[in-house]
Amino acid sequence: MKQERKRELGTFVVHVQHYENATWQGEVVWADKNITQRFRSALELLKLIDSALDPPKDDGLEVEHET
Amino acid sequence: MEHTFRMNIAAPNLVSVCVDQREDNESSGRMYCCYESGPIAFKNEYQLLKAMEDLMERIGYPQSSVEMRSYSIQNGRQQESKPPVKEERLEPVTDKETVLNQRGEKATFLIHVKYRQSATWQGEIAWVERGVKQSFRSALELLKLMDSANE
Repeated sequence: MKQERKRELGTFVVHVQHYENATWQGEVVWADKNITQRFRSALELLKLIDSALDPPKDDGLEVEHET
Repeated sequence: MEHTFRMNIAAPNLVSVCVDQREDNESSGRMYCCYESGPIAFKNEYQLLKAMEDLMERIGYPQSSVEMRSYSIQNGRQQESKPPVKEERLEPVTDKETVLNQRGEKATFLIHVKYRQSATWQGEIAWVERGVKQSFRSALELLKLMDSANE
């Protein structure tokens, strides 16, 4: 059973404004820093959030899952 | 091995995605390609996307029409949003048959990303066990197609 994550790594507000090219477009606000970025695809949205959370030396792979 | 679908298996970025487990709506397993000597493990779909993108960035195929936006540059840090491309030319280290012969416990997909336009991916995905192939117009659609195979 996966343990609930208690840490807070970041808060993002996502506005999905368009659906074109079979994906989403809109704006995402990194609330902790109050920085807004536009995204042209769901993939770009994921990478934006990842770039905000990604610590410098980490390759981004989470190993927190517990069963 | 029988193919009941036609796919460009000569594509350098062809990957075999072997899904071994499905838990809490997340898939985990192994990814194979010709430029790695062994499997690349992924624990969820996002790790798989990152592994695939890392491969395409390293081999430069297909070229992305745009550069992905990132918060890390805006943050004041000078780190690149993506690692610098290595100067040396990557060579395949695994033969195609080895890649094509891998199987996942739950499902096996062959994925060929043909284009990277509109800040996303377009290509084809084949569900090997069912012998069916579908096109996808975005990475989101790719994930939905993989997900639909679990139902």
